Amino acid sequence: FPAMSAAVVAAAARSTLRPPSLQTLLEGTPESATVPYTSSSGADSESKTADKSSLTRKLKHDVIEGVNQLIQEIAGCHEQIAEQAIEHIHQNEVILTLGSSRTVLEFLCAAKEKKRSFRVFVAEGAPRYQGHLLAKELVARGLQTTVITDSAVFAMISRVNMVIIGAHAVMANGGVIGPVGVNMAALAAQKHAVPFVVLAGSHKLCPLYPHNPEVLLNELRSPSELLDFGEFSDCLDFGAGSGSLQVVNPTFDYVPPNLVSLFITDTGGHNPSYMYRLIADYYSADDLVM
Amino acid sequence: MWRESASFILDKHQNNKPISLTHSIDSPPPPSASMADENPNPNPISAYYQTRAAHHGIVTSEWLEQAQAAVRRYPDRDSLVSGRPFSVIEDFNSWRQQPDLAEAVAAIRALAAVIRASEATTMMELEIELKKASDTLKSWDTTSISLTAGCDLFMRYVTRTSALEFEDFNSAKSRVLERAEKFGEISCKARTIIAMLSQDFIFDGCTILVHGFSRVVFEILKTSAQNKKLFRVLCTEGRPDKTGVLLANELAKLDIPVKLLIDSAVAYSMDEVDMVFVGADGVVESGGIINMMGTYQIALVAQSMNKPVYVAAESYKFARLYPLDQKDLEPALRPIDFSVPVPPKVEVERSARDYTPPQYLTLLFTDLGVLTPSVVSDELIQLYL
Repeated sequence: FPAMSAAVVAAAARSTLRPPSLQTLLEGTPESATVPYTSSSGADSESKTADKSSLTRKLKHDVIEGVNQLIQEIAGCHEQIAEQAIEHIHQNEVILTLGSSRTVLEFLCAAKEKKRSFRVFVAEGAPRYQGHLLAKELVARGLQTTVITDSAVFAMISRVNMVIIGAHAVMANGGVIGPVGVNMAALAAQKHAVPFVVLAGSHKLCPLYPHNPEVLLNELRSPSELLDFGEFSDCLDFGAGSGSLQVVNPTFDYVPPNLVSLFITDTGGHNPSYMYRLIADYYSADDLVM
Repeated sequence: MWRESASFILDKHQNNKPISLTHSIDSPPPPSASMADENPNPNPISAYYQTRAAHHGIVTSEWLEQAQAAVRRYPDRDSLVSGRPFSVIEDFNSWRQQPDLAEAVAAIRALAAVIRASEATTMMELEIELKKASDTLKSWDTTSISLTAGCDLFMRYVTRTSALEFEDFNSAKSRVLERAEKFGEISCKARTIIAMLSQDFIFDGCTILVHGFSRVVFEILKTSAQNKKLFRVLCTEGRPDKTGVLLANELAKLDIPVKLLIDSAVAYSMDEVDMVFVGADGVVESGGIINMMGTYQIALVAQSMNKPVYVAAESYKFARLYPLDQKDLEPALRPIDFSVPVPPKVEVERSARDYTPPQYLTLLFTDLGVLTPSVVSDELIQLYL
């Protein structure tokens, strides 16, 4: 709670020292002399001299327009990212991916359609084994696919030309929250100097900084995905007293920004150190306070 | 690739500065002489670091005598009201006496006072007066980065308003004064904001390594202790200012477990450290920082052992500088006491500060929010344009 008010004050400091944000423009607060900030939901730079009812109507209209635009962006992000596939995937390459991501699927298929021939290694992504689903889809579209276990990533990485994964979220420092196991793939890629590419639509950008990402931004799922009910039930029984077995099943993994080579978003390819800029386009400091 | 030529030996013979036989402390020049408005500090010994040392109570007796003589020469602020022309340096110095106030904030307050006391009748005149006062303050100590940056930012912020085009001078002046006060307020509150923003990053049971006595970092640790977080602090000794002992004293008063290390023991203890916290004398365009000597070393060790390095710096420390290497900074020298006599032919590296490149820093906590080093140049453009 005190951290929130600090963020409020920091946001206030930032806003006084900089051009106005989307929020101040919508409120119609007069600001002195600075250039109106062009927001992603269209230019709201007309003066708000209309009377109150038409003002509310206009505001409503602007907000609905903004929301529609956002919906369109989210729907269209896969296509825009897939368009860039041809620049990154070359002939006779070996791509590694982990788990299943629709963005990665469309990306790879777009390159296949442009007649590039390449092979894909899919790490199965235990314990949900979504990699199996992805492998089925890829084979259906005609790509040569190999399924490997997560533990085999380090063994196979030396034969791989590029690692491509989809992100669940991208943090303000350029770090990535992805399906569990991607940190391992990122470390393996760094060790063998393999480019680690992350595909993320711009709606995945998050303005928070990860100060304890392994714990706070993670979701712990039911251990039943790892162990069948009935198995180990005597060890899991806390009432028994002698030694208890803990099962941890995290859903997400955090990849620090120095391990990521490239982010491909619907606006193009970017460096991890540039992600804060994209985030600033969508979130002004004022809008951050929730 | 290019070997450094041995010309430094020739240069030394030509310059041949006399060094005292007993101690390697050069006695600082009388500060009162440099308090005159036009005369900048002629000796390269940094007044900024002298002031910090004074605040910490590490003074040599000669310096103390001279400071007392200076105070006697310039009477109290109140008696200045009686008809003496307003001197920005005097105002600045009276603000600076408070050990808790950062130098740049004192300068900002002094400049706001210039606007208040100004008898200008046009906007141009007011601007020129402000510029002159700002230049005087900056030239008072050319080695202090936060002073220069603070004055520059103040000037930009205050004059960046359409109020300057108002027809009525008085309302324009009051608008300018309003902005000046607001800037002063933001700068004053900067430390509390930074302390609150960084609370999330300090978790229970962590070990923090601190270098130098930064008042911002101290505020962060104090706030964490008040929020009942359990952590322990390792302080480096901080030669030659002995900042470690002072910080350890202050932390012990707050019941925070402290351990003192000599500067060379940092790599040895880096294993048990969870994060490194440092302040900054200045934040440069590349996102790197200029801080007390030893910071670069600690950042290098921390990075090689994968420990995050967090910098706490207020926004008025963002400077338009881009040092390419350590020697690119203006030299700021400190007298170093080896407690044994140093022979005259032996040189002593007396620089008080070093430059830490941005790739060794993890995050910067500023009053504008939490930033990664690459964001700094963006913020700088926003602040200075």
